[in-house]
Amino acid sequence: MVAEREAKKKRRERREFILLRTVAGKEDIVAFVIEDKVKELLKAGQDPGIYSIVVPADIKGYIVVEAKNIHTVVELVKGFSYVKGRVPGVLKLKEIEKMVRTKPFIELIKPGDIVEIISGPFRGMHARVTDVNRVRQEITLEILDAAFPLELKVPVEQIRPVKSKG
Amino acid sequence: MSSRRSRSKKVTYKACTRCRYIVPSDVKQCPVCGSTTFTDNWKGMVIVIDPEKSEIAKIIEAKVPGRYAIRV
Repeated sequence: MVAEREAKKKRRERREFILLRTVAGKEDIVAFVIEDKVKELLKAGQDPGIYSIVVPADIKGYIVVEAKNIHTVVELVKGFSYVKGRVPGVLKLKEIEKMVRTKPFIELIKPGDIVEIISGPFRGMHARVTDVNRVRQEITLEILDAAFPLELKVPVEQIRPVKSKG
Repeated sequence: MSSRRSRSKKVTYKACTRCRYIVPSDVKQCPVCGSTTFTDNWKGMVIVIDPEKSEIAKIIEAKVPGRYAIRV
């Protein structure tokens, strides 16, 4: 039992979260390339020691790689022009947790916010949120681009936030 | 001709609203949870390579390797 706990602790200690600086807007491509390279190595019977890659939702120009050690990651992205370099030091798991454990989209929307409708007959129009129904996952909107007051209910996946009320 | 070529190159992705698994937009059913509801409105991504060894996979409760959206 103690040995098992010790082994688990040791495994955890070896985990490192490396922050890579990328060209802004190319984070997804860098992550996909690393994923492909790791898959190729795994197919060839090698273990590169990379367990996951995070493309943060709110930070542009950075990705996080969870790996056994820094050197494997550095070797893997060597010569890749979209990678600008590595940020010195490693991140802590708590910091990563904040990045990946986010609230559902509907929790972030509140009455007064300005949103854009991204599908359906009102696609492309801007609207003000008047009510949020979290149970039915529905948003009540007041269309801003209409000549007369127009209210409608849309599913949350049909809108995109433009401006928060604050 | 050129427009056809550019269209074939671009692959768009959508995320399952239930388990956040990311799939190409032509997929009808989520291969992880079986849900048929997807959204194009997602932000951030976690690529899980080894769900058993990854600490991040445990946080997001991912048991299958693949791509997961952070915010749906």
